Amino acid sequence: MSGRARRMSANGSGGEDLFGAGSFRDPRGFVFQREGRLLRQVNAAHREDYDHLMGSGLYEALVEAGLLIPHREVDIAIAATPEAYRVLEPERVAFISYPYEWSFGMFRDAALATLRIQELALSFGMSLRDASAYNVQFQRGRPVLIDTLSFERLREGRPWVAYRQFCQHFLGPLALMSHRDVRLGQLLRVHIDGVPLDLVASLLPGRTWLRPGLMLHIHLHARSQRQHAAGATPRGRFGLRAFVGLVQSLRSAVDGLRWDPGRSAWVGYYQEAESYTAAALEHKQELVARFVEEAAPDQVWDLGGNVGAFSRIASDRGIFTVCFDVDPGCVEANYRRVAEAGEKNLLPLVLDLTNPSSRIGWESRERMSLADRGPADLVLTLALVHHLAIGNNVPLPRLGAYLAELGRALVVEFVPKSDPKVRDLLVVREDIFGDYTAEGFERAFGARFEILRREPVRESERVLYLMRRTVG
Amino acid sequence: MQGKRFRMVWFLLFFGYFFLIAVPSAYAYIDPGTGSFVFQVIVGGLLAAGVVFRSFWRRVWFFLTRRNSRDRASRRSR
Repeated sequence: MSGRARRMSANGSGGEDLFGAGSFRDPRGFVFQREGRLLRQVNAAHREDYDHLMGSGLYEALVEAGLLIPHREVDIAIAATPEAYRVLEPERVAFISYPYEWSFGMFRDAALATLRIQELALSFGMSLRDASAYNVQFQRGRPVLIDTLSFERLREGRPWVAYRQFCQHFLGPLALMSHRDVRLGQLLRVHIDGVPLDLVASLLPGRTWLRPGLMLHIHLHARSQRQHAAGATPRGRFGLRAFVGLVQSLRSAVDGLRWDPGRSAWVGYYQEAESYTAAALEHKQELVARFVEEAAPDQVWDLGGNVGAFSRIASDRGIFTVCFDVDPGCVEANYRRVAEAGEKNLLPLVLDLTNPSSRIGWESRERMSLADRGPADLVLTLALVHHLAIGNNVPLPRLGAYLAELGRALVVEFVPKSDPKVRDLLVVREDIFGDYTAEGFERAFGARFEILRREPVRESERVLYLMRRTVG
Repeated sequence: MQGKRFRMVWFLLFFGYFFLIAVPSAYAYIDPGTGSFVFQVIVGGLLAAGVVFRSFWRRVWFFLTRRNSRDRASRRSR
């Protein structure tokens, strides 16, 4: 049941090809797929800037610092249109994620990486013409710029063309997450080009006027946007010192933003081990490890993965694993561990499975849904089914159908009604879940999956299954 | 300590600059991109001054701390 042979690519879509659908705005080049390869065309219009990037030493400096995705130039005959000057094959990103799926720390690190890139670019006589958060991806646990065409030669005397974008994509949302509520990062799902600064300014508490960086780049910046219309041609010079000062000031503003996950309801879930005896937890870990080895996946998605305890069973075996959780505190705790330990195979992301990331943007195709980025070779759903089926009234057949869309194989834990955690869920709910039995669960999931293994977890009434998708 | 003092001086300078040298409003079709450009030009002088001031402040700080540590070292050696 190895997924290796069947897997299209590290981020190959099982459905419609949406990779590159977000790069249509740029006349200087675009991303396209050819024969399963992800390629980036550089148009002749971008020739001089691209040559400067490659010839000045900036490309090497950025790649060496792990800040830019490396690429190789390939035969131009493969170009998609006649305007091509070069065709690049960048290293593939293991999983495309979006800012509204990042934890606070990931977002902050992505912002600081963007500013570090801009500082380096300035020292090589170039500048970023985009500061879009969507141009940053997490590769091997670190933020990296994926848009090689973002650089232009510095036009001295001109302000930073991407300043507004940086403030809307990074500083504004981060300030809201830090000073108001971490869940406000979700505003980016509505505002695809970043949160408008007047909205950020109106939502931030008054005390942020006393933070010089936020006063300048959010409050006064928003006020200036209101005051100055298109007719007001910007006059005056914006020298290199001002440019450097602007980037330093933005870095200081981002540096000053903090968010501590504290004691979220879920962070201590497994440590407290209320749900399991030590023997049960150990047995569950053994079973998951055995099932993962049997499935031999290239990519694992752990849904409701908490702080990644079970994700690491896969990622520690060198399998690229995405650990999703609805709780920003869990994802933050997980990311901090990834960053501190330099873990390369684990990507923690925020995801509400009852409202998963959908397609958004122009033609609803600019940003992919969760399912567009799958299917994963193996999906882990441990201690999750009861939350969806009972906590969120999702009928078991529909849950099985969605999981079959997300993964080719499934490790799933069934928690019966007699389990204390399910009894807790039913305390304030009328028990209308007549089908929520082991037989009902197997019948519902059996419509989409073949059950390969069925193992009761020791010292508990829970059962762990390994299943293989039979449809789709 | 050095960073805090610097930020305080910078904060006072900035408030003075922005509110005393106010730019007149224009009334037309609003494009926030233009506002961001104009804003950078307005604050550009201060940002550049900040870079120069920060560099100067570092030198002064380095000079003072180096002298103090040298004095302490010579006192210890006596």
